[in-house]
Amino acid sequence: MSRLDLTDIQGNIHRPYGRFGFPHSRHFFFVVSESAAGRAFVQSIRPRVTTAEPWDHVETADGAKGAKKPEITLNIGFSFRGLLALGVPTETLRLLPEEFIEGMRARATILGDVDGSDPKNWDPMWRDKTKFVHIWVSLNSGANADGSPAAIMAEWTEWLERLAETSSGVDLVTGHGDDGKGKWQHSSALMAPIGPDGAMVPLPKEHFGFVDGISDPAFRGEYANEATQALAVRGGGKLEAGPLGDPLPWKPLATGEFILGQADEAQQFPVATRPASFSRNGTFMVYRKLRQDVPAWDDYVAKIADEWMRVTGETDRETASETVRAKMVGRWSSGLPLIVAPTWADHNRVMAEHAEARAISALGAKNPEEKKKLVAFRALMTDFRFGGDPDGKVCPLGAHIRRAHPRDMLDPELGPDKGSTVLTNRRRIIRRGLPYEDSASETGVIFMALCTSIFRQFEFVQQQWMNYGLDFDAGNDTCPVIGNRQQSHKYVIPAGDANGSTFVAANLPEFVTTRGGDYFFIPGMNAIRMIAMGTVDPT
Amino acid sequence: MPDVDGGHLFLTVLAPVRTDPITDKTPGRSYSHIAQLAQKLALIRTGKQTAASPTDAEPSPFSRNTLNHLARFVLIRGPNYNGRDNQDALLARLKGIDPHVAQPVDGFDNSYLVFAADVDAPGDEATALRAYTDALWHGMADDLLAIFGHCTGFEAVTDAATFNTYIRQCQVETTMPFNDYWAHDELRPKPEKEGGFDWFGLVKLAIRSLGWISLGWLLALVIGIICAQFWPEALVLRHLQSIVLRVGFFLLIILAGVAVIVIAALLWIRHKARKPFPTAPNSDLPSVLKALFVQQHFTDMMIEAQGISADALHARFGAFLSATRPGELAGPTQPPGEIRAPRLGEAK
Repeated sequence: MSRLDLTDIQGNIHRPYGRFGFPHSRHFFFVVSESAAGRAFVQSIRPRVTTAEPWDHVETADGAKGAKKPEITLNIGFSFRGLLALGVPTETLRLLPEEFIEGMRARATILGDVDGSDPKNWDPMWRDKTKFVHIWVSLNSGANADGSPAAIMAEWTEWLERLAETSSGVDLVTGHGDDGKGKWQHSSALMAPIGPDGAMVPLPKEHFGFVDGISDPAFRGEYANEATQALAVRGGGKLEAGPLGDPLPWKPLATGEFILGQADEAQQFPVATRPASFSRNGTFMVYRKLRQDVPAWDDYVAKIADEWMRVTGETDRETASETVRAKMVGRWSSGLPLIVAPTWADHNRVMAEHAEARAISALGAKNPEEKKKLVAFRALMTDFRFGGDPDGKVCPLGAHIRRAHPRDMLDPELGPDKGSTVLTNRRRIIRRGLPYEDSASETGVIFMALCTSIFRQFEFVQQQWMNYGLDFDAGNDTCPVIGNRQQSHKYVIPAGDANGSTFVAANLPEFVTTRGGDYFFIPGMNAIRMIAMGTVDPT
Repeated sequence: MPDVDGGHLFLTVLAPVRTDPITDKTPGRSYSHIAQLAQKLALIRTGKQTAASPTDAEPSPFSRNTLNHLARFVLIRGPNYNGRDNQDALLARLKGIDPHVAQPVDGFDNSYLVFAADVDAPGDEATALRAYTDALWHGMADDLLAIFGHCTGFEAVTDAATFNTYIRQCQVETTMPFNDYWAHDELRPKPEKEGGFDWFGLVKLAIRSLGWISLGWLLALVIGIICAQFWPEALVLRHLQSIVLRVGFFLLIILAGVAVIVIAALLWIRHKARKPFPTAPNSDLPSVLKALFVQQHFTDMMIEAQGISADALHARFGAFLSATRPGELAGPTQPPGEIRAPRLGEAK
């Protein structure tokens, strides 16, 4: 069991905070106009940065188990322009990866940020080509019973604002939201009053109504013990050839795919700069504000469900509507994969079979028996491969989840017991983030991707898999959910159990458009100290 | 041989670029052929080959023929080899070679224009090349003169025949062509029979056993020699020695047989590898263009006709067939050098 120095790694790499009782998040961006003041600013923040240290479970006086965790989390990242402004030496700057140096706006055509996603349509703070954000700071806190952020969020927000106000060389970047009035970007889990006494409880859903964040990669050294790792690698690690089941064909991915200074899937150290201590235990992060056009999605699903009924002879509206939604994503709204439940009837049957596990899932397992049921249910969500469905009869080849994580399907001789290869294993990203709602019509998700090579991992997935279809025998077709529509606006659903003949969903509008963002370096704790002290080059 | 593979000619031409300066009337403003050539290459029109091409882009001159799938110019500027000749450190020391002394840098005297093209070649290489150079000469002689005019010896080119001669003079063998290595039935791996006899396993076992037996024999030989030193008169040892020698003789024959089989297999594989890959069906450029045209319009028709009645679909498909005429290469098709099919009414 290899262990990482978790106290040197920032906590947002290891933890989706939203799932650890921190459903509220605020993202702040700063510009540095004077490097010494900028370093002093970083130094003021440094003691409050949340690390990836294990949150050990402790038993409270009444015997209940609780986690020893902070009240609020803080993480920090720097854009290339930010490192330059903070006085990081040229020797370090010039060896950083070029996509990071260029920043996200300059990569718009690679990322498919065209048409509705064109940078000229981004939030005002990201629009000006001559201006760049330098520092990203995010806070995550818990929620009150009415769903509002815990009081500590306001305290820390005020502290951060004052820190910038009193600094002679650091300013808070305003201009969030389509009206450009926001001083920070708020995002929070969708909630429902389903707790005791009608308390608001965070839901793992996004605005289109799907359970999100199911299949995050699991890498070596991420977990405190073998048992936790064995659970997480099912669907999250890399898939080795061989049948599913016991022994698990899932193994953790190499640490270097996600943490700099560690060997990666090619047994190499990921490209990082000098000195080694600057990049060690750090990683790169893509921050993207993605607007979801919910009315357009709902309208389109309604329209295409009509057509589905007309073409396939399906008579139940709910079945048609749920089926076309699932065929686009590859999962039902509940998160259950099509591969596990090919039809709406199958879905309802499987969900009924696991009703108990779903109840446990909401409240947490209290004994080993319950835990076992929960594990079995979660395995349904992640522990599958596409080898049994080489033609996309069950889960269409171009479905969102097949594109995002192709698992075994890029094997040239796809069969029932193939594994994932480097083609897939070197293109995984850790996804973090929560939905946002700037106004009733401005909703979406703050999407963050963490990986050691933005170029090889995130940009590749975005360009070749989301906005192109050749790897999935889908020609120019893009992802039916998040793809742009510049070259194609159709989606092919091959004939299968749900439809007797091939169904084409045409005239797809843009459902998801980019509203801003940039690339950030998320240094380890030691590197933050070096940046703050101005001693990246100590000579 | 590798110049032609899979029914395609892979042409590689290395034309030496002139090194004499182009003198200008104004003193001090002379320029080089390679600079002029690089500028001309940068100005060649690339047409509507990518999604980002402007809609009013001028087509590439190479799209005036329907033979080449791909054509590329590259400038190699005075390639040289500045590595050192490999040598054994001990031998060099004995020969008195001083490693501090630099070795001469080997290189070409002038720059080369590389012209590479992937061309349909239904017949033999010479015929295919002649058809291609003729098509180029008739389609883009002005461009060819402006480009190759900067190369040594091109003054002699005045017509299609002399252009072909020039290209043949500058042609080098394409040792690694890149082709569409389509999987035809003969090459497709045969499905393994369930429960069939594992011949591969048997061969592996035989080779492994032979290895172990040879090793055992060597061990017996060594032990025999050592024992003979201590008990030179022992009769048992003499018998054993003669057995070991006889076994060794048989082993030698078996190993020689294996060597013959291995060499024969290697020769056979080499012979097989020299055979050109067969031409993929419908892989010539006109067929490819027609297929792209039909595919795109078929997709549009499918979307438009989704869910209509069988009779209506039959009529709609009939209209599609008469509009696109899939069986006729000469019918409406997609022009070469463009990424998108023209609309039905506009196609020629």
